Formats: sequence, C-alpha cells, structure tokens
Amino acid sequence: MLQTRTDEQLVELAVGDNAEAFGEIVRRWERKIFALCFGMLGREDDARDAAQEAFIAAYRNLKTFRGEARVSSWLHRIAVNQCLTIKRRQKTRAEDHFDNEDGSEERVFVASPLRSPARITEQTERMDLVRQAVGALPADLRQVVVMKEFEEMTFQEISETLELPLSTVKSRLYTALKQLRMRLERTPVEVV
Amino acid sequence: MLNNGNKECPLADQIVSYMYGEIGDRSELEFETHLADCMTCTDEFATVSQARFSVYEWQKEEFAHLPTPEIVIPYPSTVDVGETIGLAAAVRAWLGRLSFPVAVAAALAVCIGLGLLALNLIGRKDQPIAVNTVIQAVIPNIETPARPVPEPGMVETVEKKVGERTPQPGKAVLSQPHRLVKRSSPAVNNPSNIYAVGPKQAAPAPKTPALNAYDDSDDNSLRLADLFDEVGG
Repeated sequence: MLQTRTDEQLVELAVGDNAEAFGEIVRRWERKIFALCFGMLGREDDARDAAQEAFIAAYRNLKTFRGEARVSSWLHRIAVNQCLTIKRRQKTRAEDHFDNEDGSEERVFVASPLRSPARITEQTERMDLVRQAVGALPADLRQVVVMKEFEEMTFQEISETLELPLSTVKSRLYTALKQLRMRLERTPVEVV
Repeated sequence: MLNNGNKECPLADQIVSYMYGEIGDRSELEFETHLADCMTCTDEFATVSQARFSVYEWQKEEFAHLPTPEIVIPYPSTVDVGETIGLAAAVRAWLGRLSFPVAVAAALAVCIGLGLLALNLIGRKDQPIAVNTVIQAVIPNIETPARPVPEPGMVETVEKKVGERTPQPGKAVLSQPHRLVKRSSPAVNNPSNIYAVGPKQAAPAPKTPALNAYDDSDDNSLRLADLFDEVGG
C-alpha cells in the first residue's frame, strides 16, 4: 500500500530499486512540479519537458537525498534547476537563430494526449474547486487575478487602471494566489 | 516588501514579478541565481506557481475556447463634431435625437420661451430694466400749521421745550416724520441703499369723500330701512 506511505518512506523504497515507489512519488508530485515549471517558463510544452526532465534527474539522484530537507523541497530545487537550464538553452538558441522574434508562438496550448474519462472527471471537479476558490476571494484580490490571468494585463497596466501603486498590485496578486492555494489544498481533488 | 511571511529573503518580493516575466533582465538573472540557492524561496515560488496554474487551467478550460462576442451598440446618428455647425443646425440635430412627441414639446417650449423673452424686451423698451426698483412708502402729506409771521415790531417769544434740539446751521431739520425706505433685493443688504424719503417724494393723499355730499337717487341697492318698511307692513 504505497499510497499510505509518506514521501520520505517512498524515497527510501525507491532508493532500494522499488520502481513502483518512485512511480507513486511521480503521481503525487507531477502536477505540482509541472505547475512550478509553468510558473518559471510560461509555456505548457516547455513546462512539460522541464517536469519530465526534473523527474528523470530526481530518479538518477535518489541516492543524494539525505533526508535533511523535505522531499517536496528537494523536488522543487531539481525542477528549478531544470527550468533554468531550459531557459539558458532557449536563450542561446534564440540568439543563434533569431527565431520566435515576434512572439507568435507564445501561449501555445497543447492538449494532453491522454484524456481518459477518469481524468476528465478529475479535471471537471478541479475546475469547480478553482471557480469556487476564485469566487470566494475578496473582491479587491479577485479583481487583480482576473485582470492578470484573464485579461493578460501587465502589472503596470493594472496599476494605472486601478490607480494603485505597483507594489500594491503585486502584493494583492501574491496574497490572492496564496489564499487560492490554501483553499485548494483544503479540498484536494483525489487523483485517479 | 510583500507580506509573504518570508521576510528573511530580500528578493522574495520579486517572486510574482519573475513568475509573470516582468522583473527586468538584470533582476531576472539575480533572482534566478538566488532561487537556485534559497530553498525557502523555491518552495514559496512553487506554492504560488501552483495556484497560478490552477487559475490558468481554469481560464483555458472554460473561457479560452469561447469566441470573442461581437458587440454592436446601436448608437444614434451623431453630428460630426469636426464640422463647424450653427445654432439652428445644432438645435435640429438635438431635436432629431429625440422622439417625435418629445421633440414637439421641446420645440414648443423653446418657442414659448423666446416669445416671452421678446415680450419682456418690448415691454421694457421705454423704461430701464428694474434691477434696483425703489419701493417707496406712501407717506400722507400732513400739513404742518403755518408758522405765523411775526409782524414788524412784535417780539417773538420762543418757547423752548425740554429735550428739544436746537437746529444747527448747515443741518437739515425734518419737519415731519420720515421713514426709512429700502431698495429691493439684491441691494437690500447694502446699508448705503437705505435712505430717507422726504415729503417731496411722497404721493399726494387721496381725498376723503364727504358724508353729506352723497347722492342716493341713482342707488337701487337693497337697504336696511326698506326691509324694516316691508316687515312693519
């Protein structure tokens, strides 16, 4: 029963060549690591590649995990390093080929190839939770989230529109995202 | 500094800016170097990124595929502001925006207003517009008894009453009661507009009819004496 094990216990099992234990770690953390990579890279396909490489790197470095930090922090650090590597690689490639100058390839949404009915149900439930969580935010915080994520306005534009200092806009968005995270963690969606 | 509970890191307030790519090149490099070393900031960044991705995913699932609605607002025909238009054209354009009954009512109101204005101007052509009309009180012209002229040789005796002021040279003496007259508003508050009106400005007093000069030969109205005659028989 790997699902009842803690992350640290799973890592110990994975170090002992238990592939299923590492699979459980991936299942628990793939979404969060993907989200972290998306936060750093801003594109889904890049984030997917980065998350994939992060888990591969984690599997290769299982023996370096000493248990001083949490598994989550360990995975976060690996993912951040992978993202930084990808960013540097992209920057070098852009300088060499001058491609993607006009940003026309920005925000390319790649649908997940495997969308089983269970996945779709899970996704629907998650969307309901997010909708409720966003709706439960205070109006001033929700306003900034909508302007940033839905209208894709810059912080400067939001600041000018709402006649607020730039630091206040950033602070509100930060607070809103933290509150959202807390609300979503309180009612986690069971991953199928 | 953001209130993120992570005050130990001086760069923690740049998490949101970095995540949305609005941090600037120099700060970006600095923040990335810091992020690779600071586990607290890495965890914080992961937390915020997860929330952001949830919202992003929701937006993508429910809203991104929706077509942008074409909004057509039926604006009424407008007058080209760039052109220089006259007053009549402006009034016509304004009336054109109104519905027919309202336009008729507005036109009538404008005509009535103009007519009243014209009448007012014509009526006041002969006299100045009364801005500071003086309201004069009618003071009955009480005739003072003529002072007997002393005959030559007679010695005039002057009886001086107690409290009676002796007129001084150069000052006017009021021979009869005077009233204070005020100008009408808005000059009423100005003390300089309060002045005395002497008997010269007062209108002549109406003559009181004498009772014995009444001729009732043409009066056919019912009288009390006639009633008594009828009752008495």
